Amino acid sequence: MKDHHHHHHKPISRKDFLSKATLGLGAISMASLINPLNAFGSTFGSLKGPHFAPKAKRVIFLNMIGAPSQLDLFDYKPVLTKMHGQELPDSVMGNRVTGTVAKQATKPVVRPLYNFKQHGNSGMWMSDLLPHMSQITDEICMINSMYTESVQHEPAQMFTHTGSEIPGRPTIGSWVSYGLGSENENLPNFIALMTKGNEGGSTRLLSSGFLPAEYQGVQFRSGKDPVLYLSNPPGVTGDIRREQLDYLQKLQNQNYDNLDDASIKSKMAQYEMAFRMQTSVPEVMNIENEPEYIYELYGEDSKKPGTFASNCLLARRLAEKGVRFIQLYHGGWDHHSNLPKQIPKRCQEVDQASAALIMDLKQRGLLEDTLVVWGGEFGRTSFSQGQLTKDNFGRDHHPDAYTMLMAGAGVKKGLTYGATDDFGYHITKNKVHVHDLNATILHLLGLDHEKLNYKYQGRRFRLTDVHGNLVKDILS
Amino acid sequence: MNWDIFIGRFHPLLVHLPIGIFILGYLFEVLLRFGFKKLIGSRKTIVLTYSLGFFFGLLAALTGWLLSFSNDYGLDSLSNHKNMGFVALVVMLLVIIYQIKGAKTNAKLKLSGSTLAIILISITGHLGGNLTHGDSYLTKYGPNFFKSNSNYLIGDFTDANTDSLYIYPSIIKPILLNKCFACHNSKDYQGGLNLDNFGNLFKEANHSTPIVAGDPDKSELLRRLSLPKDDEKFMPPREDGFNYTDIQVLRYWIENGADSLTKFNSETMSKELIALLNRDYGLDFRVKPYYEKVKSDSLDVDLFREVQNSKFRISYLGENNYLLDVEFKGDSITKEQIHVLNKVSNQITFLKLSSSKLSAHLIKEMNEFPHLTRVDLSKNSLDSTTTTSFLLEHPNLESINLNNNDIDKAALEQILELDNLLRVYIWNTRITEEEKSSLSENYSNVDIISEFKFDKVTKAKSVFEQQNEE
Repeated sequence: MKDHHHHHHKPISRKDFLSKATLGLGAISMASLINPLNAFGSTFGSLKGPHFAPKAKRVIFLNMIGAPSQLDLFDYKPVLTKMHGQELPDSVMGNRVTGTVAKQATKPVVRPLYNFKQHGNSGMWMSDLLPHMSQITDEICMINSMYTESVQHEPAQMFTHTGSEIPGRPTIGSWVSYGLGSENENLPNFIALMTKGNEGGSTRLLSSGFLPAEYQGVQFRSGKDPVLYLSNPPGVTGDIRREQLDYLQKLQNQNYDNLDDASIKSKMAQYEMAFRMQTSVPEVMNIENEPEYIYELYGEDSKKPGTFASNCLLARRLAEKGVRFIQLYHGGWDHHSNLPKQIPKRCQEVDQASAALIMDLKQRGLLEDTLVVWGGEFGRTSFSQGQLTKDNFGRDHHPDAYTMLMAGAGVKKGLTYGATDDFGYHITKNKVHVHDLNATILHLLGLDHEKLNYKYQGRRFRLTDVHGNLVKDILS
Repeated sequence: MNWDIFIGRFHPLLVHLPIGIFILGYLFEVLLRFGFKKLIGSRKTIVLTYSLGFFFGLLAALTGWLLSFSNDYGLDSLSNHKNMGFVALVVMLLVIIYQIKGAKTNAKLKLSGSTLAIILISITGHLGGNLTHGDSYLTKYGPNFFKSNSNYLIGDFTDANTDSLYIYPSIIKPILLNKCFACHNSKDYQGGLNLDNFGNLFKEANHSTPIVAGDPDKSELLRRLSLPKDDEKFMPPREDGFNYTDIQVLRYWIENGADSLTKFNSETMSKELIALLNRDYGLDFRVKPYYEKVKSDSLDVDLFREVQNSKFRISYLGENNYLLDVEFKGDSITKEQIHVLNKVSNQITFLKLSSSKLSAHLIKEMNEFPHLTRVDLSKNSLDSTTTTSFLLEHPNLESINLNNNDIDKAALEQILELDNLLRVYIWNTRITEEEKSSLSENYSNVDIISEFKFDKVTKAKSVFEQQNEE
């Protein structure tokens, strides 16, 4: 008898739903709305909270998808200028060559196309391509000694997000959401914003993997309908929806009395959450009331919905509302060729907005407990991919050394951490693996990366797998 | 002039001769035994070589005996070496006599006698080596199973509680064991120093005391470590010297009583020592935030719920840190809600009452919050007087957000006097940019934060564009 009931109320699993719905991006948000394993809101009440006193309460992660060239933006290498056009010495190259350039006859060193200057009290080097970021170097911690495992985009992105190249593990936003719980019962705890027309990231990067689907990232879209299927259908008013939910609640309560199944309660909590989001989402996504000087701060683009700048502004609004993890995605950094023409465009799109976000958070006091991370999935080579002509070249993928930026709660300001060799090819000092970075982000949030785990298929999983060392040197 | 020691010091020069020559003789004897008669000639060759070896052995023993008066070596291991040396010498002599007088046919027995002599010589040599180089010298860089238990690692301090770290057992003892123990132990107390016993560190040895508690400059141990490397008295003579950090740790420990239970205390440590320990041992003595030092108990569950139900978001700072982080989530705060807040005022360290329509009247209803380190009062149109009098009651404040309030320069000046203040936000207050910059100069330890504006930027030119222009 009991089994019979159980069968009856077996919820649609996330996997079933996604495979049947084939709705792409929207499926994600919808899945988290109907998933029954939800503990949001008041059903279960108690949140887990941090292991120890946190420095940061939330993270805004600015993903530069495609991997920006660290050699043209951050890691200043005068030797590249000196040796421009000459063959990269074999002693530097070593044995490892990626498939894409293995057959290339020559591998000439390429200089950074734009000048570098030192900025701020810290004397941090930055390219002229980032004139706004250059003005806030004293807020930034630049890690020039990042390295990762994969040389391909998708696995490397997956690795940065989940600590595994193969999809299926929970993404960092889900881990944090799972570990810390929510500070705002009217909004999802983990939200992603993608640049319209230049998304870069895929929704796979928002997957909660084997964690309950309530911890999945919800993509907010620009324009009229930020969360798909959230609005009432035409002809259905808020009152009608309320009445419907109230009646449903009665039925479900009866069900609950019979079955004593906690998932019924949490399913109802999800419905209620969706109902509240019908009000809270349009409110937080409506940036029309932002004063003119704020648009000025973020730059012209910020008025156009769906741009990176507009998303940065939204990210600040979401942070103000207490959203725990906000992922921004901006693609188009994969400059195998035509780098001189492409990279200025990307910089133009992100430079001012990224810097503005950090400083807007700061002037509001939000940088006290918000961590901003900026970077791609790996770096790029110091030699040219394809032919190096008078005014054109490209750079290939390079996972052995690249740059990430951090700013905000708990991170040392104006620090340039780690170093690479004269060619920016190998790390020479203070290596920081992706697992180390993730362990450090969790630490800043008050989470011990070795303790934050989830039992699945008979063993406990962590974001950092069995790796990860806290990068103590960058903590303030 | 000290003739015996002068001659004695030729011992290391001479000791290798008897060993080498005797081994050569042994080689001849083996070859002869296995039929290389043409090559070796008669047994006389062997007798001659052995005799030569014995002669130099006598010289080595004589000089060694003279050297033993110099007091530089531990008595036990010295006497082992000495006795073994004399035994070896006697056996060598017996071997030679037997080579001459023994029965011609018994080559096998003769070779056995010589083998014994070779073994004794080797043991003597090894003991002598241990005497000068320390008994871990030979095995130190060998595979683990081969090592004597003589390489001590300093612990992993990643999770160490820096408040309760005993300096001697955690840092100094392992270093002494690594660098000094080989020559200064109960068997081999060179210079009269035996580090087997903690107490010996404070006993006079060879007219000086290794460690004088409280007086690093009188401590011979510290002096010896800090000498120029080429000084005869520099310690340790054959190892790498102590590094700067370890010498500073030793000095700190001596200054602070040199007790086996002496702990580090960040208040008495120099900034340099704090930085060095962080760099070399990952020990973090940087001052902890106030909210990590205060201890308190968890709240009664009902009280926790009551605060929650009064439109506050409330959370503990951590699993074992029951200080509270509280934020008002409603639109306008009431007197009743403030009274609920007051019930947990002893535990609040972060308080956010932004956009809560908090008025001067209501702020007066608020208790003192003894552990308040961070307060956000932004967007409340509070006046200067009320705000200042409230804030000045909270000496532990590190961060104050006063954005969008009716605060003037005079109020900020008072607030800046708070001892522990690090950041204050004054965007959209009465304070002008000029006033802000003049105050920033006077209070350089506080970050006064107001509206941020970018400087105008010009579009960057690439190298190619620059070249084209030229």
